[in-house]
Amino acid sequence: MIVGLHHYLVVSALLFSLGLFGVLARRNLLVIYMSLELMLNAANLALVAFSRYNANLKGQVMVFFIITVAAAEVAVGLALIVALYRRRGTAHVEDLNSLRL
Amino acid sequence: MLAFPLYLCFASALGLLLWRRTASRLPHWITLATCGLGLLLTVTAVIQRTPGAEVVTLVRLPWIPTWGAEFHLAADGLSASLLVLTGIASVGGVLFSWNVQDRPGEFFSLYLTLIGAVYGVFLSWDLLLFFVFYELAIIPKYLLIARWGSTRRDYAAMKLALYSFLGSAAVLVGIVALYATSGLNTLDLSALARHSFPPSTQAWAFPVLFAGFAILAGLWPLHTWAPTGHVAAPTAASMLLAGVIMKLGAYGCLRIALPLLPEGARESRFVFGVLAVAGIVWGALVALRQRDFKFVIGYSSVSHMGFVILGLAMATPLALSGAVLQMISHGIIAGLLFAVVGRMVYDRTHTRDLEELGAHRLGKTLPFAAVTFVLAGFASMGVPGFSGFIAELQILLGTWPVSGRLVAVAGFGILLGAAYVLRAVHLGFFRGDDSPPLEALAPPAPITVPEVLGSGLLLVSTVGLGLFPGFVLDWIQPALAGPFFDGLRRVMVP
Amino acid sequence: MNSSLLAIEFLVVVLGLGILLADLWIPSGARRGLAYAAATGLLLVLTLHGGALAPGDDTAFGGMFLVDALANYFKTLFIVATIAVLLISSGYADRLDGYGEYVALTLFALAGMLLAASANDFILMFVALELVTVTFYVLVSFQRRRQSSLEAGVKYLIFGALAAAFMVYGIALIFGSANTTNFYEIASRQAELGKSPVFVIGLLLTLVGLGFKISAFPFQMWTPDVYQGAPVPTTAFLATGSKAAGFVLLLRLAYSVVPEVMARWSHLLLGFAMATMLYGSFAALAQRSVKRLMGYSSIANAGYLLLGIGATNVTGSTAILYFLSGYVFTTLAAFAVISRVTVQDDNDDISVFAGLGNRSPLLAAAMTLALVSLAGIPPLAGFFGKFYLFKAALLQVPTSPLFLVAVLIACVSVVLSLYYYFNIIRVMYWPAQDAVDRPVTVPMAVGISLAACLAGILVVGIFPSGVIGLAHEAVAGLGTPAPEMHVQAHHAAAH
Repeated sequence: MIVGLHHYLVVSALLFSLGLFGVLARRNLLVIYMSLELMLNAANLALVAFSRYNANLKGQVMVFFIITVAAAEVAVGLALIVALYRRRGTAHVEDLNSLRL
Repeated sequence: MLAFPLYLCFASALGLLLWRRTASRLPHWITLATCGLGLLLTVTAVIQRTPGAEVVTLVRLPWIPTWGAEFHLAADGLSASLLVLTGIASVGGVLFSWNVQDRPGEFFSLYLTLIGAVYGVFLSWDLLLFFVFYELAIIPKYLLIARWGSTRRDYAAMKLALYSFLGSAAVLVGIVALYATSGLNTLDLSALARHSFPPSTQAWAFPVLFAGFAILAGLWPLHTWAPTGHVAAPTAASMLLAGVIMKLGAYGCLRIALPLLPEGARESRFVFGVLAVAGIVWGALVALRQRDFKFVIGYSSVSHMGFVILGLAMATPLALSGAVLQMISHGIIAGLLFAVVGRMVYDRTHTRDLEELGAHRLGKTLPFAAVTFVLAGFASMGVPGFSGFIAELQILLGTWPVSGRLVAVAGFGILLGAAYVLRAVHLGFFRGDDSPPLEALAPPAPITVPEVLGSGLLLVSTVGLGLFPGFVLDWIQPALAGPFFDGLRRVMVP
Repeated sequence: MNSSLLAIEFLVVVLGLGILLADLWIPSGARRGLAYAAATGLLLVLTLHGGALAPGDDTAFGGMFLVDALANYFKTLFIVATIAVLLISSGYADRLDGYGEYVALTLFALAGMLLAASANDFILMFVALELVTVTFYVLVSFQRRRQSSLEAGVKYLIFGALAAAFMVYGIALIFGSANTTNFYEIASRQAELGKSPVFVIGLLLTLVGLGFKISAFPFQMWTPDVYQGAPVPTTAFLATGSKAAGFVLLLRLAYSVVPEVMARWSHLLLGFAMATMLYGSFAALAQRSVKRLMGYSSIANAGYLLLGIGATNVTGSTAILYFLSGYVFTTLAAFAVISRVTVQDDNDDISVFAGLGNRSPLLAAAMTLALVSLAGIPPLAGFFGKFYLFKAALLQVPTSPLFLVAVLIACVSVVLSLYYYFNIIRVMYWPAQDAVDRPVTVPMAVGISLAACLAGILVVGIFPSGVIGLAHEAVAGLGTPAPEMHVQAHHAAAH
């Protein structure tokens, strides 16, 4: 079997859907955050695949940008989640209920 | 000179807003001087140059060139007659709020802003400017009721504001549609009146625009803001609300909806005619069953404004002339009725319940109020010799060629009008003899000079208008026959 | 390479770094000075920007970075908004631990917005937006000791990251089908690309990402919570800068990059616009928290602005620029008052406004003016903005009656919004019996920014010609997206 662009794209779409499902279905903030990272990496995979099959290096460059941005986001995001955990002793979304009507 | 009262009102309003001291008569005097001067200037201007068909441009300055919007003030006979009405009503309003003690500076500042906005509406010859003034009137109205009002004032003020805004939102859609679809990039009324809009646009734009304006004129079934608002408002505000503000809506119909979209007017004249007649009868029937004195007057306003809307919907020259006359006549009479009930009676007895008022034997203790109310009531009933009679007659005669059935039902409304006025006179002032005597009731405070002056001004106006209607009709009818209404006349007269 | 085009962005970043460094040297009592310094610096940048406005359109970094009239217009708007936010925050400094960092982060967010205004490539667009978003994670949760602030931060984090994921995946698909991420190149091939389903899906996912930023329905869920939980200056910045950044990109995409595709989607956009307006206005009716109410109001306003995007005509784009200018001043004025009234108790229930008319007549008058403008009552900025947007939509009625429906729904939404705006006015002037009777202090800096914003409301409102003229020039380069006109052909050639 020859592995082509479509195979990569299918895997990437699967990863994206899995990540989205995780964001919607899971209740632990850390797991949700991991799912979000999964979605970003699905995009990275698609970009690299496109880059390879379209013979255009711009996609690879874009991946570097995304990795960097994702790293910044993780740094800030984890800090936030830890701060919240310290304060509330929980990392579940159901417990985020101080903001209501 | 006609434009001066507008500037004068806003200048005094600003000055009074900065006036901080309370419990002083100075704001009262400033307001009286402003309104009196405004009336004087208006009357002088119209006497110097009898207004008629000609549209006299007073000011014309560029405002937003990219949109074609101008600061354009102009007047013809219609505007002039309503400007005089505004002058009279505003002076009457001040005289009847001479007893306002609670933050008079702010009260009169809002009052003058309201008057200024009304002058602005009647003078604007630019659609956007018109709309700016039209909306500007809503804020002071809301604040006056919500701050200085009585019965359920929060509810009434909010309801009034929301209905007004619902109406003006529809008006805005209509105005923007006229502006956008004409392709002229102008907001000048004369230019737009010369443009003939495609029938498909007229078919939807006219009902939107007319209904939007008519909400403020008390169009049934969207009239319920009016009685609650009138009842809750302080006396001066209810006088202005019924006297002038409701006319803004009618004036919008007359000045914008009808001449710019005559074909749409013809298509939907019957629908609006039926709604108007429904308002006449409904308002009268409800007024007949009210226990609150002010609600009687409030619903009578709905009924009388029904006649104005009927005249506007029919849009025949006679009906339109009657509608304008009715606007003026009702403006004065409603002001007077609210003044008697709100200021003379309620401020002294602290009740407006018709069942309780009997015990006060007001016919004996306040003869001046009783006489004023009876005279105003007669005028309101449409007794010959008062202005209401000629106006309603003209409207009915103008409606006849269009639909005899509408005339019949509206005529029934006049009968009901006589009934509720007589009931109110009887229960409010002359029922003392068969109600249980209440010895403990202190006699009411005597009528003050400003009240006498105010009643005198309004009474003289309504009787004068009734005896010499030609005086005002000579301004109205040429204006309606003028070039501005060419399109409307072509469509409406077969 | 023409990197001098980035002078403004460079200066703002340097200013931010300078503030960070200065923060180490300044005693904690004098940290407010940092905000004044930053505001003064930005004022200087603004003057330079005004002077540098003259050079015409040019690109840098291989066409990634673009300076044109639209970018310059929005940059002015961003800088003005940031100055006001900094001044408002200086009055809030006691509630923000590590205030120096707050100032620096505000400047970094501004840098992101400036880059977004100049983005001419999907990569730069993504990076610029992320710079704004990641900075905002911190700004939202800056009151670490307050639970609601932290919670708001985490919610913004999750939704922001989700939006970013959608956008990145969309960009990947666009890159895959177009083999480029440059706006000009895509614009020149939009007719052919518009037929590719991969491209269309990619574009939709990118729009979802932008929808989160402007809080359009159904991507608005974060807005009320985050507006309520964040410190007031951050909320003000979110409502103005961050939203405008979303709109400048949306505007560029809709009017310049893929106008033909967008014109095909005008019904879809109108549908979102109507849902957004109605959702915002209905949900706001029951609110007691003023910040939350402003969140819903901000959703409703996004709906009005979407009308302009859906109209896809020059009037629409001009109207968006004009509306946003008035909206920025109005919203900032409202938040300046909110920041002063809520600062003492850190409570933003509507009851803290009770009796403001007596406690501080000027603040109450300012708030009234701002709310009346938001409600769209003439002759203030909010009214003319809506007038302009309605005109843009009604011009399109001949193509589809849905535009008329949308305008009527917008009217319903406006009338509903009056209810909750007037409610605040009522509470300010007619307090309940047990109202607190404590005076409200206004530090000079906040007063200055408030006065400037009020002047803005009045000037943009009463003399709209000037701003309309500027907006008109700004969108002139965008071209009309009518199908027969191949927009940007000359740009592509120049490139």
